[in-house]
Amino acid sequence: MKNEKTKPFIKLNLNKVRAAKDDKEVNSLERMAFVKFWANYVKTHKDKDWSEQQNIIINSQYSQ
Amino acid sequence: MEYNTNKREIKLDRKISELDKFVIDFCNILNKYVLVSGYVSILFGRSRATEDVDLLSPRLSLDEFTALWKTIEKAGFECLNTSKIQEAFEMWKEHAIRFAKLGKPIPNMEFKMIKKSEDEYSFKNKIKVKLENANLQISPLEMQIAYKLDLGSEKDLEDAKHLYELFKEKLNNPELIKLIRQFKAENNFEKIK
Repeated sequence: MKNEKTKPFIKLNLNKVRAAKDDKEVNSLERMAFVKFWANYVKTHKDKDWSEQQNIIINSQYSQ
Repeated sequence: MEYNTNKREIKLDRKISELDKFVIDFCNILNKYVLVSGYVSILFGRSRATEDVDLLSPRLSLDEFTALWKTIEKAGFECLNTSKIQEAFEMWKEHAIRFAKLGKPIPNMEFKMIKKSEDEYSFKNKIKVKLENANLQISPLEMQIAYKLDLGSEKDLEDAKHLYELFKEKLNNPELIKLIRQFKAENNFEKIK
């Protein structure tokens, strides 16, 4: 397991958060930060690992 | 995953999803096609599902379309727009037609004819994705990112960002910038960088 110093976290640019004109814009910044975090997870983990998690979302849409 | 840019090939060892199975089943019927838009991001891990997959095909004659239609039906798919071949062909010349597994409208394949210059670009420069037991052909990543930036909804920008973050060390950056300029999507590129 990675220690706290090397473990990646979701990071938002606080200047952009403070400058956001409304909650919608803050929500967009939060979502974009998660997209970056998840893309980095995909990049640094085995395909079988991330796809197993992703398939929970995908397969739940199509299973009966 | 391993992206060999010289061979234009990505090896992907992902667990196959229900959506992947649907796409592979449909694409196995076709010889010439390219997958575009949201499914490309989802194939590479974007954390969302979709109800439809966009696929581009070269123009077909009525005879070619009829032969393909019969193969598609034999493989257990049905058209959601019409059950008549001639009518489907006329529709296809104007807009996408959708195919799904018999009696199950979701997910479905949006089957589109290559018409626009960006469609041609995607088809000519397609990338092969090698999965465990199948191959798929996808649009080049630079075009996917630029195209999604042009569409510009929150979902589209997130799709673009996922691909950009995942592949940024492997992208052809001059080509990406050129395509983004062609789409006049520079402002949206700033939002995802």
